Formats: sequence, C-alpha cells, structure tokens
Amino acid sequence: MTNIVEYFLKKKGVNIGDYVEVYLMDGIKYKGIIMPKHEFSKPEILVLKLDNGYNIGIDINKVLDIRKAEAPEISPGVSVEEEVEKPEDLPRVLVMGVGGTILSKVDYTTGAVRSAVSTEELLSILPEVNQIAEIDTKIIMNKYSEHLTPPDWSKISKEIYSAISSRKYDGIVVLHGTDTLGYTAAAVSFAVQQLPIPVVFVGSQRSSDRPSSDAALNLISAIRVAGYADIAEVVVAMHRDTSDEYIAVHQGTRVRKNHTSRRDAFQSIDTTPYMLVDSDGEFKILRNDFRRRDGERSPILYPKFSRDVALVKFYPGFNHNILLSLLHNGVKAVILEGTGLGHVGEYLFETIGLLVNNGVHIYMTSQCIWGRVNMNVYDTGRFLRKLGVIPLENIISETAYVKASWVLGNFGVKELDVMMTTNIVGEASPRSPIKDMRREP
Amino acid sequence: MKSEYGEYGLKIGLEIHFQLDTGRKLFCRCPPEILESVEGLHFIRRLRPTQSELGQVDPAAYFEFKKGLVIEYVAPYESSCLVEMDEEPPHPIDRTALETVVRIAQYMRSSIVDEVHVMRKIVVDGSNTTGFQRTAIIGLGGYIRVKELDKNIPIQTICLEEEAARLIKREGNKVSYYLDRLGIPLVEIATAPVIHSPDEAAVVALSIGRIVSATGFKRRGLGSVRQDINISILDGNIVEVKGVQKITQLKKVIEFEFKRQVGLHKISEVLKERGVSKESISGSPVKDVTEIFSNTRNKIIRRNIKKGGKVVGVLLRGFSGLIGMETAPGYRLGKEFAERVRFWTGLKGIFHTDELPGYGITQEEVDSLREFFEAGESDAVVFVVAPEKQAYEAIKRVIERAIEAVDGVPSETRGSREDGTTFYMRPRPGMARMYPETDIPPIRLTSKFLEDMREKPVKDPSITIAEIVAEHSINEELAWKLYDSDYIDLFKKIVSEAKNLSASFIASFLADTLKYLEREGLDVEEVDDQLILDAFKAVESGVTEKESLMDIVTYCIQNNVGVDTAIDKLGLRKISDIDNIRDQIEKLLSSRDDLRNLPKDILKKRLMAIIMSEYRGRVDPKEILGLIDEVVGAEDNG
Repeated sequence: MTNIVEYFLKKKGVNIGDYVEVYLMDGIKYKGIIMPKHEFSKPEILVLKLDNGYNIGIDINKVLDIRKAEAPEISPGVSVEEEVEKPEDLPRVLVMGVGGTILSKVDYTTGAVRSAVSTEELLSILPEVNQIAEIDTKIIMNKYSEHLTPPDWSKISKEIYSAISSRKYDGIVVLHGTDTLGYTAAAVSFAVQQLPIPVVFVGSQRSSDRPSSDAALNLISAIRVAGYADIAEVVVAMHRDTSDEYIAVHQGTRVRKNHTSRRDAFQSIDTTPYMLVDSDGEFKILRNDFRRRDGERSPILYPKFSRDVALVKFYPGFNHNILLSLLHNGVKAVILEGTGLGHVGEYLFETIGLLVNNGVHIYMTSQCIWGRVNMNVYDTGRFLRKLGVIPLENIISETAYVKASWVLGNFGVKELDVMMTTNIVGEASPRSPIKDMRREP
Repeated sequence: MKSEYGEYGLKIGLEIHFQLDTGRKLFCRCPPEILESVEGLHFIRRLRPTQSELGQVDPAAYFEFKKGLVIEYVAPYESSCLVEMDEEPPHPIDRTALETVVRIAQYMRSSIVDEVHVMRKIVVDGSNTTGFQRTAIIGLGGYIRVKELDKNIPIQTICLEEEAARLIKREGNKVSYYLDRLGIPLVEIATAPVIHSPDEAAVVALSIGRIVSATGFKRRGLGSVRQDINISILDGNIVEVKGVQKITQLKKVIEFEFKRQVGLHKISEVLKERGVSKESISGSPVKDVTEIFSNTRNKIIRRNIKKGGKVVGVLLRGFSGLIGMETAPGYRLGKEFAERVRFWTGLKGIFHTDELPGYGITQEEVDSLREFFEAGESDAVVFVVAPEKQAYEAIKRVIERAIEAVDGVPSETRGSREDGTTFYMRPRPGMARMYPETDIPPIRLTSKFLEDMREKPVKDPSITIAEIVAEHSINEELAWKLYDSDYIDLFKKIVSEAKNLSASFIASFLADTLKYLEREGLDVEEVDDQLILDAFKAVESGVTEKESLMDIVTYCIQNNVGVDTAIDKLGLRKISDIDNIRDQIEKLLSSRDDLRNLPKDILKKRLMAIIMSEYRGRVDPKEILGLIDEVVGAEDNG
C-alpha cells in the first residue's frame, strides 16, 4: 500500500533523496532534498531538507507541483589527515558485533541509524584504537538486545568459544545492546568456562550518533581490558558514573541494568566491580578473586539453553492461574522473584505445592535486587521451603533464570536442584560484602 | 560615513535570539532560572565530533577534540535534571513555547510549516551536553513593518531552539559550563540581509524585540537577548559575528566589522595591483631561520630557542605594509594571522617585518632575515618561534590566511566584545551540520491549532502604547521607554496596587531610573519584581518618601536585603509612623469589645502582641510599650 505522499512522488517521477523544488498553492516555493518519513510523521506530510539543513514537513494537499532541480554545490569539507605511527606488537582483539546502538552510524541524508561494523569503519570512528590494539571485527548478528533469545546466547557462546580456540586473540570484545546485556553476559559466563583470555561485553546507553555518547570511552576501555588486563573472565565494561572518567569492569553474572537511560546504569550487585579503567587507560584493581590470563588454558563449552524456564515476579494479588499456566505449558523450572527475604502470599501456597508435586522446580530470589534471600526467618519462608521452594542465596534473578535455562539445556532436569544451589562461576557469593550498593571508586 | 556604507554595499542580516519564559525548559520540566550561585553536581565529559554528512569530521570540531578538551559541567539540583545532563532522552516539547513562536510567525506573516521537525545542530565546544543544539524551523519567510525606516524587513526563518549552557570559565584545555541556562526555550528570528547601516540594524533589532515582548513570554535581563550578525560588503563573503547582547554594542560591532572588511578589501586590491595571486602565496618559501636569532635580545625567542624551539618564517611576496596596516581601530591583518595561529596551534603570537625592528629584534636581524629570504621591498616576512612541529603548523595557518587575503574578506565566525571589537572564533561551519532529532516525534500543526493561535494574536506594540498613554496619561515617549524596558507588566501591577502614586512617576522610575542604575553597574536584572513593588508600596503607605525610592532599591540590590531593612538601615523611615500605630491602638480599643473588657495588664499584653506581629523588627518594642501605656492609661482615666 502506498500512501498519498508516495503516490504523489511517484506521479511526479521524483524519489526520496532527490533535490527538488516544491511549489505550494499559495505561491510559496521551497527547495530541498526529499527525506524519508519519520515513523510518527503524519501520512499526508512530505518531509523536505532545506538548504540550511533544517527539515520541514509540508502538507502534500497544499502542494501544486514538485520538480527535480539542480542541487546547490556543496563545498567539500576538509578531511582531517592523521599520520600517526602505529606501535608494534600490539595485542590482537576481536570485536564481535551482536547488535545495539554502540556502533550504529547515522546516515546523514536520511537520518536513519544503521549498525555497521567493519574494521575500517570502526577505526575511522575511533582512530585512537589503532594505538591500542590490532583489531579484527566480526558481526555475528545484528539485533537490538530485547530481541535476543536463548538460541542467540548459544550462538554467541559458540562464536566466542571458536574465536578463543583459534588462539589468535588476546581478548574478545562483544558489542551488545544494553537492555539484556546482563543476561547474555551471564549466559556466556556459564556457557564458556575456563577462559584463557577476557571476554568483555560492552554497550552504550546514549546513542553513538551523538558527540556526547558513552560509546567511545566504553569501547576503547573494553578494548584495553581485552588487550591488556590480566583477567580471564566474562565481564561487562560500562561507565561507572555520569562522568567520562572511569569505566567499571563488572563480573558477568553479577551485573544488572538499573537505570533506563543513565550512562552508569550498570551496577555490580552485592559486590564491587573487578576493576576500573580510567580515561587514560590505567587499570585500578578492586578485587582479587578473578582468574588471570593463561594462553595455555583450554576453554570448555556448554552452549545449550533450554526455554522451559520462567522468571516470575510476585506481586500483591498475584493470580495463581498464572502459575498454573506455566505448568500447563511445560515449564520445568520457575525462578520466583519474591518479596523481601523470599516470600509470596499465602494464597499461592496451594498452587505452588501443586506445581512442585507435578515436577516443576521452583527457586526463590528477591525482587529487592540487593541482598540475600533467607527463608528461615519467617513462617512464610519456612512454609514455602516445606512446599519444596528452594532459595538461591544472593544470585540476582536474571542470572538465576539464565542459569536454570543453562542447567536444563546441558545437564537435564535431574541435575537442576544440585547445580542451582552450587556456586558455579561466582554467580552467588557466600559472603555479603559491606560495600555493595554504592558505586565504589 | 553614511554614504560609505552605501558605497561599499554593506549588507547586514540579523539573527536575533530571545529567551522565552514559559515557566519551564523546552524539553524538560525544569524551571528556566538563571542562578546566582554556581553549585550542584560536578561531572566531566569529552565530546567527540561525529562525522558530517560528507563522511568527514568538521575540522574545527575535530581540532577541539584533539586538543583534548575536557568539559566540566555543574548541574544545579533545582534547575537541571537528567535531560540537561544528557542522561535521559528529551521530554515532549514545551507547548507554550511552541505556541508563542507560532504566534510570532503569524504576526510576521511567515509561512508556518505543516509539521515541525526538531533537528540536532552539531556543536562540540561543550556548550551543549549532548554535543548538539536542538532546533526547529517554525516559520519561513514573512516580514515586519519598520515604521521608523518606512520599509518592510523580510524575515527568512523563525526557529524554536534550546538555549546553550552558560560558560563559567576556560582554563587551558578545560572549560566549565553551568547547566542552569541549558534548555531554556529560545526563539530565533533571522532577517534577510537587507539592512544597510548600523542605525538601521539597531532599529530593526528593537522592532523585532518589541514584537517578541508583546507575546508576554519574553524573558528579560542581561543575556536574555543575543544577536548574531551576518555582515558583508560588496557581495563578498559573509562574516558571522556571534553573541552581541545590547543594541549599543550591535551598532559598534557593525561599525568595527565594516571598517575591518573595507580594510581587508583595500588590502586585496593592493595585493592584486602587486600581482599577488593565491597560487603564488601557496608556494611561498618557508624556512627555518633559528640561526638568525641565535643571539637575539628578544626574550620570547631566546627562551624558546633555549628550550629547543625553532624560528620558522615565511616570505609573503607583496605583503609589505599590509600586515601592519590598521584595518579597524587597533586591528590589523597581522592580528588576524595571530588569531588564526592561536586557534589552530595555541601559540600566543607571531612576528612580522611590518612591525620590526622592535620587541628587542634589531635592524640587523631584520636585514639578515630579509636577505635570507631574498625579500624585495614590497615583500614581508612572518615568523614564529615554537617547538618545530608547532612552528611549521603555525606558518601553514599564516599562509592559509594570507591566501584568503587575496579575495578580501574570508568567511568566518567571529566573536564580539562589549566595546564592539570582534575576534576570530572559528571557520564558518559548513552548511548543514544538522540531522534529525529522532527522540522527538514530528509535531503536526493542524489548521485547527493555527486557528486557535489566531484567536490570541500577538498584540501590535503600538496599540499597547496607545492604550497605556490613554489609560494612564503618560507621554508616548515614556510609554515606549517603559515598553522597551520590559517592565510593562510590573508597571500595571504597581499602578493597580499603589493607586495614590502617579503613573508617570512609576513609569519613569521603571524606564529611566532602573536603566540609570544599571548603567551605574548595579545588577538590576537580578531584582525581583516583588522587591520593586514593595518599595513602591512603602512610598504609597507613607513609610518613606518618594525621593528615597532610588536609594532604597539600590541598597536592597547591593546588600541583598528587603525593602524594610533598607529603609531602616538608611534611616529613611518616616517618624509619623509611630503616630499611625497610636491611631491603630485607639482604633483597636474602640472597635473590639473583647479587648476592652480585659483586665488592664492582660489587655496591654494582647495589644503588644497584635502590634508587634505587624511591626516586628521595624519598631522599638519599648517605644510601643510606652505608646500602649499612654493610650490604655488615657482610656482608664476617661
């Protein structure tokens, strides 16, 4: 179906991107380039980019005629020549593209944002990367992170495993949308174990088409971690605070997006980041409980993820039929995000008992985000435990969901309870550190 | 001089920005308040130039970035939020600001766009946390009638924009901005380049300002209006002068710029006569002449050479006498070379043979320099001293600027100072460093909406004047002054609340006295309307004399105190005040039975409480006590 504007343009033999003269009924004439429509632009509107760079919307019903015209000459801009010697013996880093806006580019004629990561493009946008590492790039998919599913985690894990196994790289950087970045980082933490080199997930909160984007510093710092830091873990590198000063390197299973838009949305939960990278590239180590680099170490791959897992948030008035529908849809494990220390309303007890008796494994995390569940303190907790609900310490709900999916996918339902309550890659911490909620320098 | 403007075809276009006070910012709900203190959350950012339409980086922007410009922002908690910090997408546009600009466009008979598309104009000097300014065209074309000139001035565009952050300081490669101003709505009105003299420009600027005032949403105060001037002569390149705040400054800037451009034009004519071409300049010999200055007495050169710096020079054929020639007062081509060099390399200055010998550089040194370059009589040598790389870069920029001199006036963006002088800021940005602000959906301006706006048209300022003259019997000249002072609303308020004072007295205080105080250096802009109202009320209620008004307001502003305190500190309170209180006590006793029947000691306490609650801090309690004794005692006897 074409709309009125498209119809009109077609009739006049002009296309989007053409330089035209638009004649209006009241005698006014505009000159400019016909632009593609913004999604929310009204159907009868023709969008024109004037010579002064502004876009305006013109009601097509007022247009008498459109004619192609000679575009004014645009004086070529000055290109910035950059002759900098490239140091030798730089570490080699693979920049793997999954999606998100971190390296999206704006098409300046249309205003459309497209993701494009070739090595050349990356280096043209961030020339200083040339001084830091030898870069290879590989786009394995191009999805906004809300569209990713467990099969995508499998694919990403396999790609990472094979890149590591090639022994060509000193580190891997994964460009990823931020919405579900924490989930994927947790997934890869479980799926690719015994890493010899770091795998650094990175995203950007403020789109990379703006000069103020956090993308550049995040990515440069991620490349520095991948190339130089003495760590071999799955980590997430994002702004520590609103300033372009420090990038926090979070543990992949213990990091969560806690703000919709701020640069420092990602926070380590119940722990501190492994380290910080400052804007000059200096590392500041904050913890010592991480695996060091060892090129000889061989990674182990467990790439499967099951979709028979549900992450369910309890709230007052929760309808027990929702739980029942999980049972009817073949869900084998439920992460129940309870209140406080790990509670749900008594009106759900019967249904929970029913689910457990029908072989559904139910695990408890807390919607408080920070802190450990403890189901021994109150009657409700004790009763839920008696029903068969298993508390998951201070593992964050999203990681618990990923973990259950991973255990089911690779080891089957009979390993579930044991593995869910075993700390596999540091996803739960036996100690509750005093420094947690704050962003520690 | 007048005819000279015509002779050189002086053409001026104005781009005037007015801050709008709609109670909020354009893309968030923060109050549009300019704060006195610079307090709040500090944070650091670095802006990276994005690639332009042509896949190339804006060189000026890239240069700023390469210099490692560190931007510090201070975000006040009361008047900025995550939107100003660029930590949250913009909220929907302020409808009142949009309506105001549409009304202005309707008044100016501009063609209003059917759908508003907000754009991002790239600015990476740090003045916008995002790295761009959000701006949208609302109207195209139209005109204003300027009675004083008896002509119509065509309007090119009417835009709605967000204001930039306020510069606090610039130190080395660190610049600090305050975010109180960022995001305040601005209307930008651009005239066609049809203005031909500084006086005309002033009249046009004033006329446009009056129309914006008439919307009722023009912000007042220093910095609330800024004019950018596009100025050219002889159909040559356009120079954009930024940030002119006052009308008096506007005239001076145009005069200065005109002289400078005429001077540059004359230089270009001499160059052509001497057969100098762009090609010949670009091939100018550049040489290391450090050797010549190995024993110089010039301290800067000596110190730099000692540190390993080089003296690098260029022979500019045909430039002798032109580099040192005054173009505008105190301004020379040599200065333009230096400004260019400073912008690109950070070097503080250059040397050229037009001003030598001097600065400790001897005739001998100049001679050997000329000899070394084989300079002829009409040739000049320009040189710098700096670390080698920087020195060659500087000379490259000198050659670049010298080439531009062949054409006369280069197209560039210049800054302006209070005294009217201008200075090189940066190359004029290429035309469309703009792309759509995808976070703001396009806004359809329906015919219904435009009809609604026509229901509340911008009132012609001359009608407002006629009304004021008729209603308050003040003369027209004073009425215009009042109008231009932007105190009309306050005037009306005072007139209605202080009915016993003459309207002319109120008007001339607002229009003349406050302006006078401002000229005297008082920060009148920061004064709260309420304070002035209080001062007038004090006069009206007989607390103080009419003649004291200026002293009281001055004291209040200087000491940041209220009217009452000022009156007391200045000793301007009328003595008769005490008599008023006596009257009041007597009135209380006669009108309130509940008081009269009280035992005397209780009655005195009650009276004291009533009186003090009204006059606390303004009277001596002992005096009141005496007064009560007097009145109550008298009662008893009677």
